[in-house]
Amino acid sequence: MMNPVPPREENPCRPRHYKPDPCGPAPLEGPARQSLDVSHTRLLITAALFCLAFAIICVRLVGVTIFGTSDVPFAHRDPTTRPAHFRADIVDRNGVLLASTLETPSLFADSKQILDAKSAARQLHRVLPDLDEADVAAKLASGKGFIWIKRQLTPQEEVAVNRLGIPGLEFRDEGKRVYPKGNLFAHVVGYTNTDGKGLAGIERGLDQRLRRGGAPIQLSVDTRLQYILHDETEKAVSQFDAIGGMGIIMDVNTGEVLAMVSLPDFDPNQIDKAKPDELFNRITLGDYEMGSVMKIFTVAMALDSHTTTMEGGYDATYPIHIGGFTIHDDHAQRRWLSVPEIFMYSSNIGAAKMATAAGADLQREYLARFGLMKAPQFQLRELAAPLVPAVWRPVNTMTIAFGHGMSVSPLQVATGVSAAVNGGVMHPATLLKQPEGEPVPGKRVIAPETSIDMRKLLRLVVEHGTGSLAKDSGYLIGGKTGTAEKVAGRRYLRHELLSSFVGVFPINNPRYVVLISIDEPHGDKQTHGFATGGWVAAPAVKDTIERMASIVGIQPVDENSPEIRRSLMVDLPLPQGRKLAAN
Amino acid sequence: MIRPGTAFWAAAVIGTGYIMFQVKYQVMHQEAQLAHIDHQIAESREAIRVLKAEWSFLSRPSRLSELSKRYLHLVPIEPAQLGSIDAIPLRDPAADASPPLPAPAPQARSRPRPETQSHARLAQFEIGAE
Repeated sequence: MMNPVPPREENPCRPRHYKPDPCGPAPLEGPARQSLDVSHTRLLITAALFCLAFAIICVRLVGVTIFGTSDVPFAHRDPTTRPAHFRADIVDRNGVLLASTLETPSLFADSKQILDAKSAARQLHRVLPDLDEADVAAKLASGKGFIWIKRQLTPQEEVAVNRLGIPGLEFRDEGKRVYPKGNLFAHVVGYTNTDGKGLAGIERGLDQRLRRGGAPIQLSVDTRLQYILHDETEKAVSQFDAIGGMGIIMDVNTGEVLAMVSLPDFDPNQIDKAKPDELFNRITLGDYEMGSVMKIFTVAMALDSHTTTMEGGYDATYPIHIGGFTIHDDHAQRRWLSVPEIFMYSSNIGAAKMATAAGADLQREYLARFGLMKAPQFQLRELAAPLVPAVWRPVNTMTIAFGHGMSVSPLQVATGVSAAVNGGVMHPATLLKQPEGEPVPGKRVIAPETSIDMRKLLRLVVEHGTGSLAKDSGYLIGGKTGTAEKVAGRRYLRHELLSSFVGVFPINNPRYVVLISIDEPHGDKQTHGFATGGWVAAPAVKDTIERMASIVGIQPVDENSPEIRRSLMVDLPLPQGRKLAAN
Repeated sequence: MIRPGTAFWAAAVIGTGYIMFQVKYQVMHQEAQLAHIDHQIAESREAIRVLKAEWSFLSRPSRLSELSKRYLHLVPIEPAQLGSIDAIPLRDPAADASPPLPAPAPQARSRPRPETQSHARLAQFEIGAE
């Protein structure tokens, strides 16, 4: 599109000294020619470079606009993530929400903007009646630029305050922790303070992880089982006019806690109303002499170490007098008792002799294997270390054999019993859901054969012994009763009991351990005045198991079917020589 | 006189400028929209959280149990009510051999119509709920 250049002669802009060559352009010679060539080359190279640059820009432009590219790093924004200050949710093993953080308006005042502090306070008091009018008036007149009036209002309160239209009152959104299930998981989930710091339960135990936000924490507990256990424990506590109660359901094959109840409990949504007794987690922080429940560990030790056998036995005719104590039996048979009978009639004399025969060292070793000698590893911080005697005298060996003179938490007992019946492998207790299909950490503590014997013995207790109120449920329950007199100072109180029953089901192939303990129950007409574990806790465990069985998918069985009778039969070498079948 | 080349380039400059501003305003508009949608997403998300918490609150086992007692006249299943298919005895061949029972006479007229029945049952529930 260039204009044609006119001949040089006619060019008005030609330099004056220019004289056209008379006979056409003469070829330049010498250095002039050379420098012209060099310039020419340079021009060509530069032009080529520019062309290349424009070509690149063109290609890129076409590429970006027409084909679109993914390699352009746009500022990545993800509106789906929540602000970092939100605590993670807590859910149960089926994803049911147990704790969540909601954005809640909190009311604050810029008191410099408040025109009439008194009238503003009076109006605020009308819509928020729980505020102290004088206190609010003082705050509004304080002259501070930022002062909290009330934290975490309900939506209705927010609307009411907004409607007042008082200048200087403003809202700021804060994260408020809510516990939709209220009391039900009080001791499992725990609670936080207003600033979102975990003060108890999982909120405290896993505070760091929760603060990081992100995916919810999935616990091992099951809301349905928790409700059943809570309900049954509560019923037993109120029926026997007890001061408290506790219950735990554990999966024997994984150590997962499926339910955990400590009564009395509290509503974590209204933590300021909770009493100290209600805040106390009896399951993990309570140390109790569990009584005859501990005979499970004594017998497991004796059988596993071959101190005695299922056919062996000890003379329980006379009480034992040792060091100012007298050890006697509550269900005295006054004769030689075989090992199954000692367990079934819960003979203290027999258990004491059994432990003495094994020796204190073996006793300590097995107690340690069952995790009863030191505080367990657990997700909660409210954890009690067991109380064991500093010096292990012969009398300690005897009393510990039947559950006195040593205090442990119900959590530890449930974990130990799980190991005794699951085939002999100790799985640490956990409140976190274990991934399915993955091997669970565990340590063998007793031989599988010993564990099978323990199942038979536990069934015997329910079939013919002290736990017979847990019979005839349609499910195969095994278990052991325990009734401990509570210690006050240095004395045992005869009428203040801790009555427990630890149930295992189905006993022919254990899957769950259910432990319920009732603190200071009082016998009623229905129990003929008895307040022992067999009368108080065994029916509660039976009812719990009946209600939970269909949820966990265990079918009822005929307790008297021949196969089951045979699989759980125990030969009882009775004096008369007859055999007793435990089914 | 404007030369054609100059005119062309001037037009090109004006054209690209116009298009560029158009694009710019479009981007600004879309960014505003994006911010608005982001805000909506955040609000919806929060609403979902509130609803989830409310659902969890309303489905408290204690409340469900209370409602079930009031409105459904159901009781827990007894273990004796549960069984397996294997437990049902096989058909007795002797029973097959015997002559079949006479077919029951049609009773369609005496039977209440389904709607009436369901209304009656509903009414019963409502009375039961009071």
